[in-house]
Amino acid sequence: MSSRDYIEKCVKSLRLSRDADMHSRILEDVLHVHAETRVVRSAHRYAAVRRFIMTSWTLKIGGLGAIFVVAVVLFAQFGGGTTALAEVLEHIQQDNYSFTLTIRSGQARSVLRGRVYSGGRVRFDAGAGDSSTVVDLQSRRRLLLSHRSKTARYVEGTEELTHTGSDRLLLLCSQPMESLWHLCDGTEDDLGQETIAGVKVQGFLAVHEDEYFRNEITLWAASRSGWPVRVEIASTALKPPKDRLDFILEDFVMESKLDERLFSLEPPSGYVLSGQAGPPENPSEEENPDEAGKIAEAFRLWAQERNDEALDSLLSVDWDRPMVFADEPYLFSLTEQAVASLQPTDRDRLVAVILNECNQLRKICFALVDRAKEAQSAQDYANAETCLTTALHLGELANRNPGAMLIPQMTGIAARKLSLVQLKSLYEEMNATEKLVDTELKTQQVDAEHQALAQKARELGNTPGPTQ
Amino acid sequence: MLEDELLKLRFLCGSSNALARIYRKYADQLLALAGALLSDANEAEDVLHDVFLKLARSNGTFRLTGNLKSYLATCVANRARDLRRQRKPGRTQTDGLWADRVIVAEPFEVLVSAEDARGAARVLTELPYEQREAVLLHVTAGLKFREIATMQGVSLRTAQGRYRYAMDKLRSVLVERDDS
Repeated sequence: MSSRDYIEKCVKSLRLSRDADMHSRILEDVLHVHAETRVVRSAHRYAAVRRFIMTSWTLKIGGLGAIFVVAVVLFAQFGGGTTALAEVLEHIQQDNYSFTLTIRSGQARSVLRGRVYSGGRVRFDAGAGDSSTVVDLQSRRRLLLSHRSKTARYVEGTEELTHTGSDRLLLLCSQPMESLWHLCDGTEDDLGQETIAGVKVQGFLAVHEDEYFRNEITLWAASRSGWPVRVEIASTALKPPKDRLDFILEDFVMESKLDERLFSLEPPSGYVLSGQAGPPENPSEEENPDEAGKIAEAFRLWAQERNDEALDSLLSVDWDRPMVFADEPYLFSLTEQAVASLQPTDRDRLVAVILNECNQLRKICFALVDRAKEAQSAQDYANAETCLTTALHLGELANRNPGAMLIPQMTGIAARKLSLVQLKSLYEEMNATEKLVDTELKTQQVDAEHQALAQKARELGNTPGPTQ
Repeated sequence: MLEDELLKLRFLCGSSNALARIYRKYADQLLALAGALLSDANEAEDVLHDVFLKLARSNGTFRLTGNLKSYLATCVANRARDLRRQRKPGRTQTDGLWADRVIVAEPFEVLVSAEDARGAARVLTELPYEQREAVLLHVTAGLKFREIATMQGVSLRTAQGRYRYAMDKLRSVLVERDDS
């Protein structure tokens, strides 16, 4: 201790010895005077308190300190926190929620609402609820549901690339969700903080690539909760012509109650599986893509006015084998609702193509009947029967899809009727009684279908729609 | 510090308990200060009495934005000055000599020897009044030199000089005694 400190302590330590009553006496006097002069008035009291608060530096500093502490707590709690991509992905991959998906391709733009069920099931509903798709993000199995025709169909792998219309749209929807589902943190770039619709968000940029697409994912999540606010995915095909699709996911809403049945990969009761008997384990073994290819090739040859080659291609088709049309001719592959879901310009163009194909089908059937007549006149009954049954099968093919447009269906009815009339004549000449009876039954069936279709056409005639 | 602010607030609101608490908290220190300034124990009691009576009467009009202890010490110093001025020339003290009644306050008993304390008290009584006032207000009441200068009506350097002279005198006496 320095001498100065010691001296100061000596001075501080000085006290005066006093008699025991001295303080009591003074205090008694003081309190007595205080009691006499005390003015207890509430107004005065409040004024005094206010004056004290306004003038006390201790209280001011204490108040500022309290405000600072509260501000720090509020900032950390509500405004200043940052979130990590892992937290955001946890929400995306584990919660139940719905969102709006916008798909852009050039000028075209489609908007759908998607729902995600925890565990990797996603459901999209297109149009006015006419069709839906349920996707299992783990196995990449997809179930396409057509609610109008009550049909269900499984799609695997990249089959969506060969689809058109709303089916293709629905199948494309699963692509951004698959990207998000398989996204991992650790390689993302931090885009900093921004404000979207009044919400402070943290941005991340990540790239996910699979065997078909390169997806650049820009993800904005609420800084406070880590809940996704907006996700932008620029998806570029790896193979030429390297088409680009832009997906925007926004309007995320937490869904506490989602019906698990909506996300089942089993077709709902009352729905018929189309194209296959069930979920295909090895689809290539059951289907013969060459048969559909032969028919498509025949249409192409006919368009090039190579009519004989076109007919030969058709005559080589094995009609007993199942056929799946994923692309052209569109009259066999497209449904009415698929056409309806397109943009007006695309829809008009596609309808023109389908009308042309229907016209081709009609001409091909006439050509087959002509060839059959020639064979019949040459008593080459087998060849004549083959030509006529080919025309009949083409008509049946056009009528196979109950959701198809009205015009292809009517064309199919016409082709079947034409071929059945000629078959009847052939079998009569051949005296093939059994086949004649069979033909008669088929004719009756076609007539019934024709009447049903005509009724449907009349009903649609009173209802605005794309087939009008 | 915060306790003083609360005491001030309660006193402003008319609390006699607050006034009693203020008295009990500072009475001994203020009495010692008054005694050291006046070198008279009886006058020191009068000063203490007057200061607290004035404080009690100020109920409702009391204004204080600063430190309570400094305020009370300043009141004691001012009242001591008044008493000093009122003293009749040639007055002789028959009793109540302050230095003879000095004791060491409890918290300092282990740090300061009673002999040194009494030695310091004697030196203080011998110091010029302004120097004594400067050192007592600064050391015991914690007043800043600027406040002391304002109270004494002198410059800051003068107030600091008075404190320094007083400390030198105290040091010379206390250190010399230790050396001897």
